Amino acid sequence: MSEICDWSLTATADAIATRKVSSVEVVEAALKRIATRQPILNCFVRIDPEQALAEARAADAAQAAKRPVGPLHGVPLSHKDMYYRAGVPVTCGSAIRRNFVPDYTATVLQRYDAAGAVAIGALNMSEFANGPTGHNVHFGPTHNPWNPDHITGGSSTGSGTAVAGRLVYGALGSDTGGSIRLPAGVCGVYGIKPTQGRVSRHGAMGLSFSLDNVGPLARTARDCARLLKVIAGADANDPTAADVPVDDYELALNEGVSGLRIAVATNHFWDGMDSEIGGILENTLGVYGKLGASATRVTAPHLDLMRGLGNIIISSEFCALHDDWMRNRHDEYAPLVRARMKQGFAFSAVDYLKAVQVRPKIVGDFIDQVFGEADVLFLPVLRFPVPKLSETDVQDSETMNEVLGGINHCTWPINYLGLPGLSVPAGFSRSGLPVGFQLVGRPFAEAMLFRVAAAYERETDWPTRTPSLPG
Amino acid sequence: MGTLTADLKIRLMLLRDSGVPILEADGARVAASVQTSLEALALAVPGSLFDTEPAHFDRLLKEKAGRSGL
Repeated sequence: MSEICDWSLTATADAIATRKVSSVEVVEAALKRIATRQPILNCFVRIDPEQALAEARAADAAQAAKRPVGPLHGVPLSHKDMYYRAGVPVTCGSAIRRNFVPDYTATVLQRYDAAGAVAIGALNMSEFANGPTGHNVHFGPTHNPWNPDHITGGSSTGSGTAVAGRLVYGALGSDTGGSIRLPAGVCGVYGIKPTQGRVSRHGAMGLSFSLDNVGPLARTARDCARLLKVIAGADANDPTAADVPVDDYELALNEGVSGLRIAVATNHFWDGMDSEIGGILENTLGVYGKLGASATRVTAPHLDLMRGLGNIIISSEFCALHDDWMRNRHDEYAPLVRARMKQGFAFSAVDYLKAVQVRPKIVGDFIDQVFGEADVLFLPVLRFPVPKLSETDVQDSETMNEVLGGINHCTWPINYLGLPGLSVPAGFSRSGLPVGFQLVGRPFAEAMLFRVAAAYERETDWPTRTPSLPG
Repeated sequence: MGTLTADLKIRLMLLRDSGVPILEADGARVAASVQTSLEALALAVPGSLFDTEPAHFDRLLKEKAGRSGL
């Protein structure tokens, strides 16, 4: 039955809906797979087999009773351990919150529950969603399923690994500087950072409320589209969730790209590009050319400012949330987290508010100049092959800023811009590790991103390739 | 890190006065990062922000929306 775990999320949902397989069979296969691969990958921080099987039995019973079923009925999911569920511990990847039990449930979890999903545990992450590699001093590093010596990308480390390793069909991550798109790109799956405000953050751990986003990772464009559709939209519990209508993302998948215009930013994102990775990305653009899309090289404005502006906002907002613990429980943070964030105390209120208040001007310029003549923007995820865990375990060393800044160089600006960004698998490097690219769109243009991603996916076999792992 | 400017020294004093423990490695690293960020801010805001509004960013995202994926 282990082959069930290799099906896509939507194929599995369809098989359950048509009673070709039961939810209990699917969950049992997933639990068996988890038992075999978790010791290698360390992507879970908690596994709930009894609870998952009880939910699966309830899903099968509901179907037998011919009750209406949702688009994720009976499908097991697991999420980054930062989404609150009443009565269930949530660690946020930290020692400080190791025993915290919330008394309410996140809107996104409520929406997955209503769609019929089965919860199967909680996934490892960088401490307080802070760190783009995959290290965690409290729960141990998460390992890349394509080669466990290498990083997963972070901070949604377990989400990338559990989905790519075929332990679960989909997972929520969160993205404040690349934390969905990096693990998706580094592990060879899809991951979307939606438009700022597209998805409710009620019940999601906050890192930086101006830049935080909630979004899913999955193995195909259709899987990712379905997972986003279920959670997108306004929320009475989160006034920052936009009241903009949600498109039918799956409907957009078959539209093709003929006549579409793809912008390729020649500045910033391609600086220092590794020749092998650059070649793979150019081949990807060639595929789009054959499909009838045109590529235009553009110079995107203000990119040299976004590292600094984002830095002021994220560190100031982190320190506002962590003020008490940073002063009184300093040693309970990983050296990397406290070293990276304490600069927030050195910025003034005026600095912070200026970085926030100038955002519309910067973003307006960017959208007008990049999307005036293009439908999507094409970017790398990483500019070099996926590094090893040992090469990036910088902790609070002198190389910390340089190493971490190199990893999130291509994802970081998109959070300040507030635009949607989708990580798409582009194949593998000679070393057998994944290569990914990003598609970035206008605000609320997630349907366009899925459309462009799916057109490329149809020309490749990347989602059908599976890592060589036992079980 | 070269000689700190007076402004940067004040920023680091703010950090020290916060009560957050400062380790040996923190000083130079924080100074470099804060300086880079403040330089970016100075370039981003060369003049006045007087005529800006608090909810302008949310409005801008809706004004510039491109929902037509179909």
